[in-house]
Amino acid sequence: MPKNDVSSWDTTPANNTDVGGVDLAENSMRPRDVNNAIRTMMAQIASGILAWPTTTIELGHATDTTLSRGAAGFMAVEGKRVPSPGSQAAGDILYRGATEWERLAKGTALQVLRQNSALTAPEWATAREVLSANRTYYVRTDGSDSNNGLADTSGGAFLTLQKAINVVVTLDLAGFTVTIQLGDGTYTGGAAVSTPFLGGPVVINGNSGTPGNVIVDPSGAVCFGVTCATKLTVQNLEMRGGTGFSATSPGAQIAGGAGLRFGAATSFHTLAGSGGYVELTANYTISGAAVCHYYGVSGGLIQAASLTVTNSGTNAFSTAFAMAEETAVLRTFLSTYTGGTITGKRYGVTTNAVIQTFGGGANYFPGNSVGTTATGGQYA
Amino acid sequence: MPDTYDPSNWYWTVNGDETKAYSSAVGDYVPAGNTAFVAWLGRGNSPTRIASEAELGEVLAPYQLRPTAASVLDGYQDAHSRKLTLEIVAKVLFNLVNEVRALKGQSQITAQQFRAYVKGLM
Repeated sequence: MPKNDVSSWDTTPANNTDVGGVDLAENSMRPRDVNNAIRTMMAQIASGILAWPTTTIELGHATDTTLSRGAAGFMAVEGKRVPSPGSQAAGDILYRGATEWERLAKGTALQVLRQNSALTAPEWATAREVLSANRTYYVRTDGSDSNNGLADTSGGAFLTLQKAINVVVTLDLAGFTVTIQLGDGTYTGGAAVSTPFLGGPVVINGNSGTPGNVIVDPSGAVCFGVTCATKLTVQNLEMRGGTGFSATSPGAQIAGGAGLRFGAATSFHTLAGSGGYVELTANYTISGAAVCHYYGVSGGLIQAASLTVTNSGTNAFSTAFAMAEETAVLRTFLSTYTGGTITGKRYGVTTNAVIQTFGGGANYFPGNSVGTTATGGQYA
Repeated sequence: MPDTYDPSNWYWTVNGDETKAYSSAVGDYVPAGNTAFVAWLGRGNSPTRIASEAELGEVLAPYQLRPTAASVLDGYQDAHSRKLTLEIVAKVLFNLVNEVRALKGQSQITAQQFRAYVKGLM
C-alpha cells in the first residue's frame, strides 16, 4: 500500500518500502530519487501537524473504559470523578482531594482562601476589610443598626454608637482615619471599646458648632470606655450619666479633643485606672457635678496641661475635684479653671500617687475646702 | 521643647500680674522683659499661675527655696512654721512639765515617759 500520509507509515522499518510512491526498497531505489523521497516525507509530516487540531483523542478501548455522569458538577471516568466544565463558574478553584480532584465553589466578595483545620482542603474565610481612604460612619437618633452606617440619612446611619464601634474594630484601617459622626440628639448608650482598633485613628465627633446639641447619656453607665490597648478620640459633644471617660487597662487611651462638655455624672468625669491614660488636649467645659472631675487610680494617668477649663453654674464634687490614689499620676499643670462655682475638696492624693501642678499652689484646683495628702501621696 | 518642671528654676505669675514673674532661681520678681525669662518662654515654657504670694511661699517651702522678696518670704516662713510648730510645742511642754515637777520636788520624767503620757491621751 502506498505510504501517502504519516498515518500509513509502519513502525517496522522494513515495511516502509515507499513514500508517496517513491521507491525506497533496497536494491531498486534510484539514487536520484533520494531528494524526492526526502521532500515527500517533509510534505507528509507537515500535512500531519496541520491536521492535529482536528485529531480525535480516544479514551482507551470501548470495552474497558467507561465515561459516565458523576455527581453534580462532575464526570466520572472509570469511577474517578473529574470536574465537569459545564458546572464550573468564574472564581471556582480546583484542588486535589484525598483521592481525586475537587472543586471549591467561588466565595463571596473580600473573602480569603485558607487551609482548613484538617489540612485536607482549602476553604473560604472572611477577612478584614482594608481601607483605601478615610471613612465616616454616621450615627443618628433616627438611624438603624441594620443600616451600613455609611450615609447621613435615617436609612443609612446606625442607631447606636456601639454598633459603629463594633463595625470599626473589624476593619484594617491601613493608616486611614475612621470618623464616627454623631447627629444632634441624645444617645442613651455609650461606646465600650474592648477590642483594639487596627491600623489607624478612630475619632468620635459630635457637633463642632454647638457641642451641647450632641449628648451622650447612658444613665449611670460609662459614656466612653476603653478596656484594651487602643486609642479613642472624642470631641464636640456633652457627656452625662455615670462616668464620662474611662480608660482602665494597660495601654487603654482616651483623648479628649475640642468642644467637650462634662455634664452631671454619678461617678467621675474622667477616670484612668490600671495603666489607662486619659488626655485632655483642648479647652473644655464643666457643666455638671460628679464624685471627682479627675480620678486616677492604680497606675492610671490623666493629663490636662495648659488648658482653660470653664465651669458653668454651681457644681459640687463630693470626694474631690482632683483625686489620685495607688500610684496614679495627674499631670494637670499650667491650666486655668474659671467660671461659675465649684464646691468640694480641691484635691486628694494618697498611697504614693502624684498630682503635678508645676507649683500651682494649694488653690490651683477649684473648690471650697483644702486639699489633702496622705500615705505617701505627693502634691507638687 | 518645654523644660521639665524644676522648682528651683521656674517662674510664676502671681495673682494675674503679667508685668512681672517670680523667679525661684533669683528668689525675687523679674520684669516681664527679663532676658532669662524671655529665653525661658522661648523654649516653649509657660509660668505657673498662682493665686497669691502666700501660696507661692508655701510651694517653695518644701524645696527650701527661700525667697528674698519679703512678700513671698512671709508665706515661705508661715509654711515652715506650721510644719515645725507641733514639734516645738511638744518640746516646750516637755520642758515645762519637768520644770513644774522640779518646783514640786518631784523627779524628772524622761522623753520616753512623756511620749507614753501623750499616747495615753489618744
